[in-house]
Amino acid sequence: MSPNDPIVDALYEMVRSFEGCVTWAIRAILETETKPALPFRVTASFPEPQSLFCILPAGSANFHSQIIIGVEEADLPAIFPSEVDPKIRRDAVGEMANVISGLFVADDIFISRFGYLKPSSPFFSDGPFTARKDWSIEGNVEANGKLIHLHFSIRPIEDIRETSNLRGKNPEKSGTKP
Amino acid sequence: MIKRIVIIDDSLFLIKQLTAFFEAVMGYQVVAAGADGTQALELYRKHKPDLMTLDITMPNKDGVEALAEILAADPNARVMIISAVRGPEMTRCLALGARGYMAKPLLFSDDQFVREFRESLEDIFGP
Repeated sequence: MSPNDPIVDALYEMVRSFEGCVTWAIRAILETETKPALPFRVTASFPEPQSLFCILPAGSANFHSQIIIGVEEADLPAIFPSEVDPKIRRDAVGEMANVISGLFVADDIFISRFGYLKPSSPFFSDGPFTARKDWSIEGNVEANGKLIHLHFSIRPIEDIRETSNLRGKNPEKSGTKP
Repeated sequence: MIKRIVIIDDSLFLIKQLTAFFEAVMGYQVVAAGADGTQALELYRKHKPDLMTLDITMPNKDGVEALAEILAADPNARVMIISAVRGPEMTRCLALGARGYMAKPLLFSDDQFVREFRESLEDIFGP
């Protein structure tokens, strides 16, 4: 994806909307004041390294998107001070992703650019996971003195199919033994 | 008679919040909770609750599918959708026969939200 790709244009157009959805959703779930640590931005990057990632995909016949929330697991007690059960604290991160996704994919600008994408259930990764360096919207929100990292990217399904075909034809790229 | 509720949501965090609201604020009894559409059907058959709350996005079987199957088995079932999904699934659930729809996040510290939630429940159960 080049910087001139229409998807990158769309990300620039949606950056404030994503920041607004994220800030409002986290504030509503935590019932505490939250704010972006810095304004959200469009960048070609991997998600910042964290000990816990929550990934929530959404898809249609034409596009696949994912919202990634990254947090330090050690920060969860501070982020959710009223929750004592570690399992429920972790689960609450999934609920954040769920609410952010529900709000963002229903946003007018998002719908006008990509149509409706159906969200899936969130899943978790403890630490690093395989991710492609995509153009994305990223930002950090400060809540209860800790940072929550957000990352949104979207790709056309055709692009994903082409990548899969390429992997199938090239053993080195697919990682299989020659 | 105390209303008997079954909550279906793949989020333990949400189940805990909803249970506290139904029991402490509404005076209902949460008799069971499940995490996907398959459990929704099983728990509906087992408990025949006065109300089932149903999330849409869940693993295995989603809320739309579960709703259709519950209503096919019992057209009088009272099901309220509680979901972050605001797209066509919301319209589909209401067309299928869901009695109400609440969008997440559930703002239990907001008086207006609690009032609206209470009114939705009163609409479902009638006067």
